[in-house]
Amino acid sequence: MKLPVIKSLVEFIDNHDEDYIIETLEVLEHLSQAKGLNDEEVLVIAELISNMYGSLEVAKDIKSGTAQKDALNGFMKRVMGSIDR
Amino acid sequence: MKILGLLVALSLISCSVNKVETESCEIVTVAAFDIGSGSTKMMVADKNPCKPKIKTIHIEKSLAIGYAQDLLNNEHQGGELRFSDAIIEEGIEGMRKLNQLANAFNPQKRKGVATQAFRRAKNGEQLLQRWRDEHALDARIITQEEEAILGYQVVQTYHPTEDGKLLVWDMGGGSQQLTWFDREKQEFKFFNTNIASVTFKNRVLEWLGRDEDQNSPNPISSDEYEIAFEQGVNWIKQTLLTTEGGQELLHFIRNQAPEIRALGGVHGASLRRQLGLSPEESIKKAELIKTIQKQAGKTDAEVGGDFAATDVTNLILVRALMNVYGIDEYYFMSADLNEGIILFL
Repeated sequence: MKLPVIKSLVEFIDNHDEDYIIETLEVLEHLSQAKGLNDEEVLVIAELISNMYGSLEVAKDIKSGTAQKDALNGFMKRVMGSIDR
Repeated sequence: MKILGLLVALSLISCSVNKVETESCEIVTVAAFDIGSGSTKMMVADKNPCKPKIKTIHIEKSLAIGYAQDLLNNEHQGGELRFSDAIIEEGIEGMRKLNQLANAFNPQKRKGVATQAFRRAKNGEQLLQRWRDEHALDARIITQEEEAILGYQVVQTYHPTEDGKLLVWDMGGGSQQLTWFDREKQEFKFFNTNIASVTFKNRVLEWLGRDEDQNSPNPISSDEYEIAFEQGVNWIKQTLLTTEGGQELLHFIRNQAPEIRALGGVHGASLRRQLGLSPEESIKKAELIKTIQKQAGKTDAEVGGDFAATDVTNLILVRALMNVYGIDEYYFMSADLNEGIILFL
């Protein structure tokens, strides 16, 4: 997951609607099962899916009252090597 | 002491230390499935098999699949404690969708644990076998003690706390586990009960005299909320008296004033969303009461989401539990059992 990508998607949700992301996810999830894709291509789709799900989580947090910066940082802290003991 | 405690836990949940020592330390991608009583949660993450480390969480996805409600419906109609054909179909379809999504991340391992509803259902094991065959899912039904220790380990991983000073409170759709470590006896202690989200909501339906075919008690008026709260307190008090570990739990909370960390969908999703809390914030009794007043009188549509039927009763349930347990504040964790599955199983 990449913070700038998630941030950009969160801004998109803010300006439009999360339904766009949800529907795009359905398309990408379907596409990821298509025959003929090589591993690298599937991983690119997977990365997009991952960022989109991440943006939905962050948007949910913001909706419940968390500041955007805190929501983004909190989410990234959790998903990127948050446990390293 | 902490090491000894963890060793007990490790042996109980079949996490072999030797296996870790001989395994390659290359990062592996694991898909974990927490097959709970009210929802199935999937997480795909990279982990280092040589130490408790999640490198990256790729994706998390949750589906509302009401196994506990299905069992209660069958029980209510005098039937056997078996999952219906309808819920089996829903479970198969849900697992297919989640695995399809997980496939995009090419996981090397797929592990799953099933909890209370599967412990009770006579055909729960059959459904797990189907998933083993169809998705190569390494899944099993865990005992309530194993579930409790797994939750305890997740909390200790995120928030290392002196054993004997930590109480882990895990509550889902069909059961709740409170777990602590007795330093004198050097053993884990549990209070396990089936007072949980779905079971409580169904009791509320009875207490408020709702129609038998009604699935949701909403809208709940302020007067009805008082009835549900009082009845809930009585039910919990009775359960504490008659269930192993109940009195020890009260003694532990009163004498040790432990740090209380909560896991599971009731705390981490339902309450968190309704109270508008950020991760790691605390849930306070006063805030809870305010939120109940705010949610009273709302229909399912006004509450919103897949879990509207249980959201308001979850608030009442937690308030009643806090009252009886003698808790004024506790912290919820955004982590859940899937982290434990990935790290320790």
